Amino acid sequence: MILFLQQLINGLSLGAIYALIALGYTMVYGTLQLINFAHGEVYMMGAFAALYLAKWLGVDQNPSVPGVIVVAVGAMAFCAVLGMTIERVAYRPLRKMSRLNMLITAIGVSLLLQNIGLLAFGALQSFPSLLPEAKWELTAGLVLRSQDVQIFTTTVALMLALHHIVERTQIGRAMRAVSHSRDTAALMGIPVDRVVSFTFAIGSVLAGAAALLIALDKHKIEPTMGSAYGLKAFVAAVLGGIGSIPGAVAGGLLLGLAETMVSGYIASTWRDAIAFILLIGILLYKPSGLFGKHTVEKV
Amino acid sequence: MSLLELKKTGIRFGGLRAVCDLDLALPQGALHGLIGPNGAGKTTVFNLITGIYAPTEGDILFQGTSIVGAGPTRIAAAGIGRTFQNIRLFAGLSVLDNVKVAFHRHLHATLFESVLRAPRYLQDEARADADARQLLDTFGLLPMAELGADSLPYGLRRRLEIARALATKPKLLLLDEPAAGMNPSEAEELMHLIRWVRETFGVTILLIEHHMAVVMGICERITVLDHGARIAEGTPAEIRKDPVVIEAYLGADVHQETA
Repeated sequence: MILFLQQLINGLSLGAIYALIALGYTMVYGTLQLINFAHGEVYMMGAFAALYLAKWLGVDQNPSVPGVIVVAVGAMAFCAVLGMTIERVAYRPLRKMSRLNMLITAIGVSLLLQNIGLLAFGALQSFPSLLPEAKWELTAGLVLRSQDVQIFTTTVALMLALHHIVERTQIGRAMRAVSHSRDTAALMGIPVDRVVSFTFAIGSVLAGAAALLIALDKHKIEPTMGSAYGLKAFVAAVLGGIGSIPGAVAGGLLLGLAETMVSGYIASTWRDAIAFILLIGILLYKPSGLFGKHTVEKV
Repeated sequence: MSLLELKKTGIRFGGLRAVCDLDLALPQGALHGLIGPNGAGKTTVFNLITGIYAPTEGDILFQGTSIVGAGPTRIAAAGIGRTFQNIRLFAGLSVLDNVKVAFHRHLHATLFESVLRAPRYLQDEARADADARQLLDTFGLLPMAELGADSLPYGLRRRLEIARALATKPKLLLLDEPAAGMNPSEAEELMHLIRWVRETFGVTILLIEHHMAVVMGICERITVLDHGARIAEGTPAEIRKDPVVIEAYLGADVHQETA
């Protein structure tokens, strides 16, 4: 029982990170039907942006809560600009062409950013503690870490904010219309380019937040972290039904829990395998994902 | 001056000339029909006017200025609204939101204002809400405002599509087969609705329709297309008698046999 509860805490914490990144994949897919492979690299860049910002502002020397908030906002803003730039420079010129062109470009942008990262930042860097860290032993053997609490609370707050933007603002309504049909939305006078740009910004902001949370938890960041977490988050988005916002959240949590339960009860060497076993299973039995819409092409 | 003017407009898809040398002039307030056999290029004409396709030949003038190359969003903003042959509502959105989203370009609150519920957002949203509800009310759709758009029956979805197109505040409204799939009494009702829309909203209407009763009943002038080219234009009475039109619809052989 203790083991189960402990893995539940670990799983929710890991799953929350997957969910934050998965939202970026799913929202972009919703508007452009593009799998934005560069999204993982936006997440990686967010971590390094946070690191250099913290060093530049001296927050790593004298950590403080306002300091961390400034670092977080800065890293998220950096990611937003990066995501919008990628869309503007790499994807928008290709929008009228076959979708495969954009997909291949996305892979190219991903490799480009990852290698820029390797050149500029080197291999692995340690990330300083910016917030006080604590561990609470709830009962014998059951540990809750302050980092887990940070991850839960931040994720829940960001998801509520996202829900609010998508469901209760004018730009959110326009996003929903664009994700239903880009052409029809344009004909109704919705500025589609601006809505797409905004979608990239929101997804990237969430990735930036995830990056800072993971950096504060693991204390090491590397230029290849985008492909590891990015790929898992992509699997999470497909599990939940790509294009569906609640699906990305559910898929992320499910994947996080599956991984930690497998490492707790079977063997930790199986944790990566379980992600892809789940992916294959869902593609076989429910290809549209847990929350995906089953679309029938009308002829 | 004509509200809309097509001058020798045409488009090629590879070797296929889907529309060629089309001249069409719509004065302010007109109710003009566009008819022709299947595959004649009628919907392509709509796609050219709304900027989904850019013409490869000729020019399109709206209120005297060329709109070629402006793109769908800017053409919609200039005042051209449309409906679709196969209804294209935003299925995941409510009936009310389908109309509100079409007001988008008339709303001015920024993201921060809307997240923080600033006064400008609240005013904007209240106005959009009131306008949308009024529009739904005039179309008899207000009781269904909160339902999902995809849950409406077919005839009401057609109405909602027209209401949504009107929410963009167009000067020119393009209706693509609004009576498709309707029975004679529904088509009759639709005729009244279209006339009423023109009087009430002061829009100019270009209508594609296969229901001859509808076209002949409400249009002042009709253009007939066949294989992408205009083969006739005139009043309903003239079109009805035109031998070229009869031949296009019934085929040359039939015409000869009956002659």
